Amino acid sequence: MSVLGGLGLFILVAFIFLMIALALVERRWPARFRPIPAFDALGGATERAVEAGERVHFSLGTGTLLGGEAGPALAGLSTLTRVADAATMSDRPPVVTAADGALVILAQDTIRSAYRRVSAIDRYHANSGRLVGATPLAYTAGIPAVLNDEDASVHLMLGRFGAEGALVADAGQRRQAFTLGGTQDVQSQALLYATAENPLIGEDVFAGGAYLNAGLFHRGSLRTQDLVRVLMVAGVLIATLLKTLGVIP
Amino acid sequence: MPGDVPEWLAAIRAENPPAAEPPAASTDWLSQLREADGSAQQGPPAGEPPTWVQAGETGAANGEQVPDWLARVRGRQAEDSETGEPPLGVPNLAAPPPARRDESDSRPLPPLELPGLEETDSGVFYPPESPKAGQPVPGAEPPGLTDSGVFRLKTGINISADKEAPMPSWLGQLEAEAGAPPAVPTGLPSVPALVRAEDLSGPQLPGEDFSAEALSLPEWLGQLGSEAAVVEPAEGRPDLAPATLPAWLEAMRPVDAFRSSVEIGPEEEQAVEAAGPLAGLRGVLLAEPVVAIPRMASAAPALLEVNERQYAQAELMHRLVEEEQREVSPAAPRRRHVPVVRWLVAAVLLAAAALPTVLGVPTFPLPSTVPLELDPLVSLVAAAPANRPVLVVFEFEPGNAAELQAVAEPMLEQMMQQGLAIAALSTRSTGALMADQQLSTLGGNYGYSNGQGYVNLGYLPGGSVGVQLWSQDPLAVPTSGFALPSAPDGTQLQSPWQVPMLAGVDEVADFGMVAVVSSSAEAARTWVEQAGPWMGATPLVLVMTTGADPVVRPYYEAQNPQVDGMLSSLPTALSYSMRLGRPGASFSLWNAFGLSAWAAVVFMILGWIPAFGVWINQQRKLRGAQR
Amino acid sequence: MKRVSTVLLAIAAGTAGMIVLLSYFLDLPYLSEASQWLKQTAVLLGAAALLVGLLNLVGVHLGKIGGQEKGWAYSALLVVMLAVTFTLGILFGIDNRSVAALFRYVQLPVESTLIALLAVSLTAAGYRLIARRAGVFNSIFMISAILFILGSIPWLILPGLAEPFGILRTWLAEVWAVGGARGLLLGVALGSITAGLRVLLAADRPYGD
Repeated sequence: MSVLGGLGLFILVAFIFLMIALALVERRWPARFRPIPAFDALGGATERAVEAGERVHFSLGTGTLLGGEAGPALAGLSTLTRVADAATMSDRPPVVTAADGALVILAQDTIRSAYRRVSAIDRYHANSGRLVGATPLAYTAGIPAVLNDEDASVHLMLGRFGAEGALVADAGQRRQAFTLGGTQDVQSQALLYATAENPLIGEDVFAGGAYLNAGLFHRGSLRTQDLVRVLMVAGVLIATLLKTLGVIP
Repeated sequence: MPGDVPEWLAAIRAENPPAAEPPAASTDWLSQLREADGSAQQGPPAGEPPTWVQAGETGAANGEQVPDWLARVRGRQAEDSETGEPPLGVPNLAAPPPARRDESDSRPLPPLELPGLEETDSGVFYPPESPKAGQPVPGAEPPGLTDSGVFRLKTGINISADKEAPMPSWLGQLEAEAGAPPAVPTGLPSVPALVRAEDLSGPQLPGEDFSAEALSLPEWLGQLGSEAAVVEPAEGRPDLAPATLPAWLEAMRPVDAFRSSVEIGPEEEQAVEAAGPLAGLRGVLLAEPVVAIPRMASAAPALLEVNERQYAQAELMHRLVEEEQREVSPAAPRRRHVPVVRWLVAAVLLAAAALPTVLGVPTFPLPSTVPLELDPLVSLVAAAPANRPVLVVFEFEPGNAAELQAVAEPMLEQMMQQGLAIAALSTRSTGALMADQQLSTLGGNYGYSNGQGYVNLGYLPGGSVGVQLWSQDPLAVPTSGFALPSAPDGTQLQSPWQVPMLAGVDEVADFGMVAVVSSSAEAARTWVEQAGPWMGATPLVLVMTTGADPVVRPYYEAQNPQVDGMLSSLPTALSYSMRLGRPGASFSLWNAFGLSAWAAVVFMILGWIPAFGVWINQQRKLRGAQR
Repeated sequence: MKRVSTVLLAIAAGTAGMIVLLSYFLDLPYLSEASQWLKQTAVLLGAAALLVGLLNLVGVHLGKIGGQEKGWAYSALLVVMLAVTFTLGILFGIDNRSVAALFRYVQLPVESTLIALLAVSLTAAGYRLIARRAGVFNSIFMISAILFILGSIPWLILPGLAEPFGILRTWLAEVWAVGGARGLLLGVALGSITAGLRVLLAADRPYGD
């Protein structure tokens, strides 16, 4: 095992340990996270859509489950779990779209599990999860039709988006739907900031589970992120200082 | 013997001799009760009999025609007096009343004894011949239709138009005693009358004839009412206020309600109440059968009296119901929101892009400054070995083709000028098509053709995982290739690795250079992070869009850079083309690019005008509110 | 039974993920081979999932056609074009001239148009951002965007200002933008790690309960 491998393994174990420990600590000393207006507004928007009999559209993005694009997609699925739980009592269940077949299957499983939890499995329909297009721009071209045909009043985008994410968000804005957009791509985040009504900046897209009370583990993992980030910032500052002072060559 | 004073009463009287003079007359009912008590008397009270009694006797003595019902009552009374049984439920008014119980006397009252009546365990008195609860009335006919068509209940009460009901014996006895003091039955306590004679007339209700002839009342009650009706009400007696029905109730009251004439049959035919507080008694109104009797409605329907207000309310209700059933016309469609700003922006940008292309004006000056990363890149490409192919990865969508093909064109041209073999690869499903389109277009200028100068490795599935797997062992991850050329002997090649120009390439490090043309920073980072460890000394070049440049630039500007060359944005590509001396697509896009960008900047600056107007308005409102 | 299947699924997912993850840190032969096999299987499953997704796509649109729902005509066109392209690709291969023509004369112009629409949408969004939500941060955002564009484009009027704006743009891009992007990328990396570990530890079960 190389040095780098050992270091990596240590960091991995430390991560897992911190996540579990902070999840257990969360029960006793719950964390207070800073407010994210987008998630604060999401609950009310979903409830209004359920009461008004309107549809919630959830977009898992144009990425795949292979590679770095899987992160925001998995975060989106966590948030979808909570949204699906809230929307199961609606006459019109949420519709989830993606540009990847595997994500569509996982989305269908998530919605089916939500209906199973409320003992309403007979209300689940396989069309709740759809592949709209196989390429990012083909997906973007199909989104306005989905929003119009399904009469969606809540438009959630949580996943991997490129520059086409701005068009997807714009489609929701044109319908005056509640539009929430979050992605991991920095360039796309800038575009979503301008086009989406409720943008998520940085890693806020990964905080959906914790802010929507998906479980103690989500809150514990968010605390782990914050703790490690602080450690990394401290490390960068110290290293910069040492480098400036010539201590580090 | 009836009429004998009980010993205890005599003892009390001996202790308290009666007053010499009778007490003064008083309106107090209690004093009147004492008078009616008759404790010092035996037998009927002294004095003139009540006028109603005299009226009955006078009437009979004068030969006046006695009403039939009265005759029946008297007849019954005569029969009862013969049998010697007291009327059921009616105390013997002639019997000596019991002495007033002294308050200091704590002795309990003697048990009630009613002669001729049997007492059950529950304290209910039944006549000896009367059935007990649940038992049929002896002698009563079974329920069903009579010969006259009248429905007869099992209680013995017949509902008929006219049937003379026999007079109960107790009532006959009552009449007999009215004429002469009746014999006091043994054992029956005498209860003083609670109702004074002058009160027997009862309240007079307006508009109603409560005479016994008009109403179907029991004979005994009817007799009392009719005989009391001739008694003048005493002065000072307060009249009860007549009850008034509210108008709505009055209106709902059926005018011609169905009613039946109920005749009370003879006593022995009457049913005994089987339940309730009146259980065991005869001749009482049986609530259940009376209520439950199915009645035929009268021929005339019930007439409601409806006033104006009620009519208006009914009309309103009717209209509401009608409106519910009425089909609602579809709502008018919402006025479509016209996106004026969007249309204006589209028109201006379209004009800005078309004007230089069509008319050739305006003409923007070419970039005068050379980006810092251009020279190293040109050198890097120039230093690429001629005997090793170059891998060019096309990581962009068809929509970004216009920009990225223009930016990557000078680099590809330099490669073709040097005669470098180019292998194309893509992790996008349309990337192979994009690569084939550009390489075939550019290659035509340099004698490049598919299989001769360039080869298309095709589509690499799996995203980042596919890149890592391919980078570890390119030959182990089969790619189908795209538009594979034929072999020299004319056979169709099955794999791109069979192309002679790729001979000797077993791993990524065997390529002379790797260039990634990408529209997104993620794809570029994937190749940097997944393929970089397997490249060895092979240089890595990134060709990017302007927007992704800041994200991947640290890989280029790091102390130990993982990226050896960068090419981003149209100005850099234009400078590159000028360096090569071959005006490419970037030249044709330059003017349109400049004018469109200026139009976009102007639009964004114009957005501050309405924002400023809103701010002025808010300040004005604030000042107004402060005043 | 359901509980057992859920536990088995969680164990399978966690085990597979841990094998691939540990193979990056531990140089063990069996671990590396297992990791390679799992990754190749994942690629194959991804391709199979794409086929399943296409079937889902066809099913949804066939349902719209059958139910004569709103926009069913476009669904019919989609199904027809999908069938034509699929048939051509299967019969003649994707490098056939007909498929290349479909790509060059249908898909390429359509996607280029969408990117052009992106330019219009972004410009209009920038205008609306300032006109309707002109706050401090929105103003900074738009001012940065305007300065960046002005430093990248040619100047027809006052061409002497192109160089100073170019320098300003370079400073903005390579100092502020790069620094901010690195910070965001670090946060995104942390989020991706925790999201992945939640799946491995079965705290998140996107494959269903």
